[in-house]
Amino acid sequence: MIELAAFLLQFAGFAALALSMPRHFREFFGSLPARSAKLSMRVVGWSLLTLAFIPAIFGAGASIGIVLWFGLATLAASVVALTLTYRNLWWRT
Amino acid sequence: MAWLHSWAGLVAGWVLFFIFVTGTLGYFYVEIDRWMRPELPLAGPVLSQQEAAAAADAYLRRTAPDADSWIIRLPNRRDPTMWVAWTEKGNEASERRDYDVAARRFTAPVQPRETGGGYELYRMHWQLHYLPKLLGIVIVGICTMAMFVALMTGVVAHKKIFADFFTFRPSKGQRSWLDLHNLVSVTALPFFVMITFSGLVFYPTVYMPAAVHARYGDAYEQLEGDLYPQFPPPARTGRAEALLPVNQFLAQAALYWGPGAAAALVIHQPGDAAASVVMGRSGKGMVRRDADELLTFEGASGALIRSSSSLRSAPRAVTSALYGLHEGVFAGWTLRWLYFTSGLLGCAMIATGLILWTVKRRSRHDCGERGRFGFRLVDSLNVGTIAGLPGGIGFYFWANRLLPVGLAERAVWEMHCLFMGWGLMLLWATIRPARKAWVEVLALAGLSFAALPLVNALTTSRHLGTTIPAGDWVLASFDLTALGAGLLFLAIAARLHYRARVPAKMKGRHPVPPGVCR
Repeated sequence: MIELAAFLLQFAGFAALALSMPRHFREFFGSLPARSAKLSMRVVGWSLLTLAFIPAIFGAGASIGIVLWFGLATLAASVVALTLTYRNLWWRT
Repeated sequence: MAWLHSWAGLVAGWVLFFIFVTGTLGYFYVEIDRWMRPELPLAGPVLSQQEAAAAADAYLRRTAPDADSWIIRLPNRRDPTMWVAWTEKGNEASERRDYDVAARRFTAPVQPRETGGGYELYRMHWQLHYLPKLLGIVIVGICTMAMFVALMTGVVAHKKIFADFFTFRPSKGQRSWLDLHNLVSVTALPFFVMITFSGLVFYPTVYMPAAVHARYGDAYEQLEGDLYPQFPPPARTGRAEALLPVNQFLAQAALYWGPGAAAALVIHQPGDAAASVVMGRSGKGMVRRDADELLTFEGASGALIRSSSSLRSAPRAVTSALYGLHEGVFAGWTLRWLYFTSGLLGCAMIATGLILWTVKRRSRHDCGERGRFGFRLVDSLNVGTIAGLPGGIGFYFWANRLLPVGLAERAVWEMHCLFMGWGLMLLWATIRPARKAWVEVLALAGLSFAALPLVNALTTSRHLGTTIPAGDWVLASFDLTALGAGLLFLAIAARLHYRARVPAKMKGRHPVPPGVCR
């Protein structure tokens, strides 16, 4: 459960970070992001990633929680990237 | 610095791929060990450590009251078998009994087939095979250093990988391979840096012997003795004094380590006034891997005699934490699968890097019948290793099920099957055109894995039909994972096969379509 909570926070965090990058923003919204949008996405993204430490450490203890955070982050970032690539395939059907 | 990245990665790439594949499987070596010994019982109800200790205590007091020593191996999450062993006075050999949880009694241990198991796969991760142990360790060390160089130069020379993060553009030839290589490298970068650096720390005295030599000369054993001091077991006094209940020592250990963290107990001279109880720690609840962390108690009074803890020096605590991180001993199931995933991403990083080397050069070279020797060599080694090694490992599991159980040196032959299979696939890759070889070797690897559950069902009673109803998810997961891996290889082979067919309308315009060798 705590793993799922941490994973969802990281997924949202990485998604926000991806959308703070002009290339992915344009793919998603069709226009280039405003400076403020870019900045706020970046802040939101890093905050969510930091927040994800809370369930991980709360559930698994400080040292193992940090290892868990990194393991889940790898998965979350990969899923975000694959979602960006294949979202048309998945959502348009 | 880009050239350093390419060449460090290329030269060590195939050995590194081998190291990563065997190391990734190593995260589940205990579970693979069980699958490869189908004679062992299915997983039953799990005993708590207290229940287990109480049962062992009662049994040993009844069966071996005068023994020199007792060993109690407590059940843990990964391996729920509890066993006890004892050595009678003046006897070298020990007797062992396994606990049958369902029947609530100790029985003579089942003799499983002779097999190298998952451990033998894992051992090759740092020692390779068919080589003297030390040479294997040195080669692995050199390749690990090359990996470290490739990682660092990759990050420094290709800073663009961070700007391109989250980007994967499929079906675009070289572009796609580069995207994939960057994506897996960056998503698991913390794992790669950790695993490579900690890998180098495992054998510091082999890689940098000068410091030890300066202090100890040739008396290497003396270093071992200083690092891991041995305490001789107490001598028997002949004065009888009852041993405290074993559970009381567990309760005491819980004060130091937290509950459920004991792995095993050794009890010297039980029932004598000089009795001592040595308790070893499992990896539960902490990252540090303190194999040498022991608590020693007086058997009759329960007083703590000594606690050996590697926290006594900061450098040892650091190395111990690095070992722990590397091996993931502490990992529960979720974290263990995450480690496994990161390991697979490592295999993917190396594989895509190696493939990229050929993809980049394929269009530059005349890649007809007379491709350049170097290019052809890399191409064949890629097919033979990236697709052939998994195929060979599939053969290893087949051999475990199909070799006669009574075969002499059976474990050795299992491993010969792995390397003969891999060797044949390497050979095949050198005589076939690369594109065809990819399809064929991948298909063979896929078949060898996808058919494993079937082979298992035909040769043993530990197949999905019995393991799933019994709730033995360790054994069931092996079959399901093998099936999944096999289907994945087959899918890649099928995709390559159909993509290799050139669309009819392109034929007239391009004699050889870009990126295709015929």
